[in-house]
Amino acid sequence: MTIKSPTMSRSHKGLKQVLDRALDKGTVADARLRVKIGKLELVRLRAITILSSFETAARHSLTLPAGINYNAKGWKKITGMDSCPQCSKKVLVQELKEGCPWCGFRLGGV
Amino acid sequence: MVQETVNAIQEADTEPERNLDEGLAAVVDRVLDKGLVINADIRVSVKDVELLGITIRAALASFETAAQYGLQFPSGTNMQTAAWKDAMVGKEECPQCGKRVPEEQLLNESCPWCGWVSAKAKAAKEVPLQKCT
Repeated sequence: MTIKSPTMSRSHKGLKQVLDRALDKGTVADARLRVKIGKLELVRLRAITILSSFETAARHSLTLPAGINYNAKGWKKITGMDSCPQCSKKVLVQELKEGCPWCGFRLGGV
Repeated sequence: MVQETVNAIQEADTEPERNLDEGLAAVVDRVLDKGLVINADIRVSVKDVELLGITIRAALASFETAAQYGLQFPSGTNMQTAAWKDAMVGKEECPQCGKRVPEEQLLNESCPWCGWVSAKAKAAKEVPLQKCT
């Protein structure tokens, strides 16, 4: 059974997927900029930027803004979860092996 | 062949402009729902003298996601309101109608909006039936 949202167009889905990927994998940009006039170096700029989703940030233990309560529900859902290949819902790996509780997907099609 | 190409072009042309808005809305939805972490270190130096250093540790999320992950809210936010309590309940999107429903209810019972039933709930219903026969 495939689940399709009727309102979703192709481009719309693509954009969402690209964003999902970029945030789930985490994106790092390391940029160096030098401004020179002749041989004289004027400005040197270095910027390292990381963009990621909360889940990825937690998995890679990125520094987050101060004052976050790490005992909150959301953080507990991160370890041991994986997305179902069929419905892409996040499920505990143990549960997923027995069949996705959302869509009934079974590993190896058994 | 030519007809196919023409059809493809027509298809592309007739795709409503609204989809672009919808796409953007979906992207905003997704970003706010997942939460976005932006960490950046920026150094600006002039002639080997460090002039300016900026360190950014930022988190961007919707109210619901922020509440779920225990992000700090500006002082004076009253977290005792019904809306916050609602946000603290872990919600999941119904795969059929896309409405956000408390996870427990959606997984163990059914979607109160469209009646979608999860595989887990179906299995739970089927077991007693098999025992009867």
